[in-house]
Amino acid sequence: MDDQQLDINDIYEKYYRDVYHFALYFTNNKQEAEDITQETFVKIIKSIGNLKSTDKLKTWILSITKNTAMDLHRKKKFIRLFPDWGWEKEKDSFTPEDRLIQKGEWTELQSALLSLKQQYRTVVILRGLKELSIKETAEVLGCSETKVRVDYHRALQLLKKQVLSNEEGWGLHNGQS
Amino acid sequence: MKKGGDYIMDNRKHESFDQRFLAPLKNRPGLEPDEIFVEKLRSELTNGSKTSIPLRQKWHWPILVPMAMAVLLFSVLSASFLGSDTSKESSENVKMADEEDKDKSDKKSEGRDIYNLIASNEGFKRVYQTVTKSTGSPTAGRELVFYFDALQKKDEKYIQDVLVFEYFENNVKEVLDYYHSADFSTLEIESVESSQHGRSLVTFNFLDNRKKDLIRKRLLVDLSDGKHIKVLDYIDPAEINFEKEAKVKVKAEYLDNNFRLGMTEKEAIQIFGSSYEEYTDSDAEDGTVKYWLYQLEADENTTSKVPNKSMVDFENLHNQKIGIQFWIGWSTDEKVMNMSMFYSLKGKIHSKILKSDGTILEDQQLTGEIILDTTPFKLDEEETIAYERFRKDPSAKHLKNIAPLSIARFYIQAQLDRDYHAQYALYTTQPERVMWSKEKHLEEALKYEESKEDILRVFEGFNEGEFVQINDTDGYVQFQNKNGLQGFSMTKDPDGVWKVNFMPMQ
Repeated sequence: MDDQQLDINDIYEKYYRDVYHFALYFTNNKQEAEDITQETFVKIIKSIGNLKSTDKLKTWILSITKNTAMDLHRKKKFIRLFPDWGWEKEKDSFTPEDRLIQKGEWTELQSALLSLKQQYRTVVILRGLKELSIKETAEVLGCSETKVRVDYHRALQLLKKQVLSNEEGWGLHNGQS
Repeated sequence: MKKGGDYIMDNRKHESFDQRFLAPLKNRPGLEPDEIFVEKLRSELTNGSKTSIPLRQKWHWPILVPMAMAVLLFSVLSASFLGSDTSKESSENVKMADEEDKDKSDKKSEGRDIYNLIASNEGFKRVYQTVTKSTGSPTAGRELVFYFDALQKKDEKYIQDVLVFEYFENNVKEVLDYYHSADFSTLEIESVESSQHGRSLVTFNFLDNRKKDLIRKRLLVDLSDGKHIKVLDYIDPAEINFEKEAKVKVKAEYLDNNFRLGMTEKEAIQIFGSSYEEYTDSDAEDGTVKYWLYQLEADENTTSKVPNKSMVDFENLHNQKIGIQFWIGWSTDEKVMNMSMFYSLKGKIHSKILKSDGTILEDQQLTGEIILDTTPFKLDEEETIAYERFRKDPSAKHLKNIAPLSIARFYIQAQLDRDYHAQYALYTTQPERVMWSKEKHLEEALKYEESKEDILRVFEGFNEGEFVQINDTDGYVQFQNKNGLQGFSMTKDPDGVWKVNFMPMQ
């Protein structure tokens, strides 16, 4: 993609999923994720002229997404954990083994993710879920790579602690806790 | 080095654990955006102004028709992204249409007075107020009320004039049927999304007295010329036959519960009525001498295309012009000896067959034609003599001048008799077509021995099959069953005897 010929079509095609994924992980709300996606692309169109190089297009877009999500979150104070999407399983029928496995299920993780501070939530989404490199994550968050490492490590620890907080006797393997 | 290596390994372990830990979230359900939303946003971003696209704003017309179609067709998907204008707004009063707007009224609206309609019907009032407020056009509110009023009054001419059918196969009757039991006084507008060109996507709900449920629906109102309303109101075919389906289901259960083998004619008439057509049958292998066909819950003027007892009128059943085809077979002593029943529910043809030996066959399928073969597979007298002679001495000389269809039937009979020697002897001896030895055949046949029921299932319909000769030495038996058109391939050996090809059904 040439610097001078940035096409919104191409940008949208290439990044709409990343933007939406970030927004959905951040909010766990389809409606809000759509709003964030829409707002993000409006901002992209407005300020694409300010972008000096397309090398950092992805991190630039994700940084707008992150800011939009945080802004919208601040404005609306929306936290709807699990809307009625009908994905919850019948817990009564689960054996203890099932419950252990279920501990790692997405609903638990998503719930725990939402309970993290935004600073940690974003680093988990970018680094852990969207698999950006340390360098890319640092670019999106506008901080040093060291801070990304530290924050990511802490965020994961908090996430695990949150997921496991109500389950006795399930220790982490590989010496983690 | 060792330390460094351990560190890397530990890191990998951590990484691997973290990845596994996050994996369920990474692959969580609902992660991908709604396709309709994606297309809508794409269209807005690329077609719209590059300076500002406010959140949840109005959408442009070029995407509205496909959008509306998609929304209507995939209402579950779309349910969550629409709805910025809620019915809460509907409680606010809006100005009535002024005289200028009223003049725009089309001729077809003659006889309809918006003031009277909204004064007499709370639902119409809500529609008028909400649509007018949301679109800024009293004409849109008024015309939509006229549309609902026409539906209520079953004004076919008005509906025909305003409805757009070019995208769908619906017709006026289907639309009227859909709203047949709607309580229009319960109409509520949930949301209105308008383009700049006078088109509005309206989401509304109403109570259906027949279904005893709140129905949610969307339609597209087009007032782009400011005058003539056009409405795109797609009716899902599954919704159209709701009432008919309910009746068919009840009737099918009634037939099933009240039928029994051994009933007399008098009893049958008492229970099922006397509106049947009688078909005589002198060829039935199970001794049935005649059949009565009841065609129940059938539309007037619908003539069944059933040519004989072995066919089911799939087309008329599928479109529910005929609700149920119910056959009962009679024995010589005028007792019911078998039954078959066919009906369509939710697009699937259901069948239930009760044979004279008490066997029950039940099935349901989506499409295709059901062809019944209630006659058990059986060689006729002449064939039986020839077959038995061949079994005793499996030599081709006993097959000379025997029709290929009969030879194919010998093959099936040999399989039913588990006489794999005779079966092998029915294979062609053409060197290029011989695929395995007799020993191999016996070994395989014993290893994969099938039940008689399974064999008969494979050859269902074979009784009605016919031999199709392709050239001097090749041909096949063509027959049809629930699996579609089947072929059983054969070859003429140099001695002029028709033989079965190896793996004849493939």
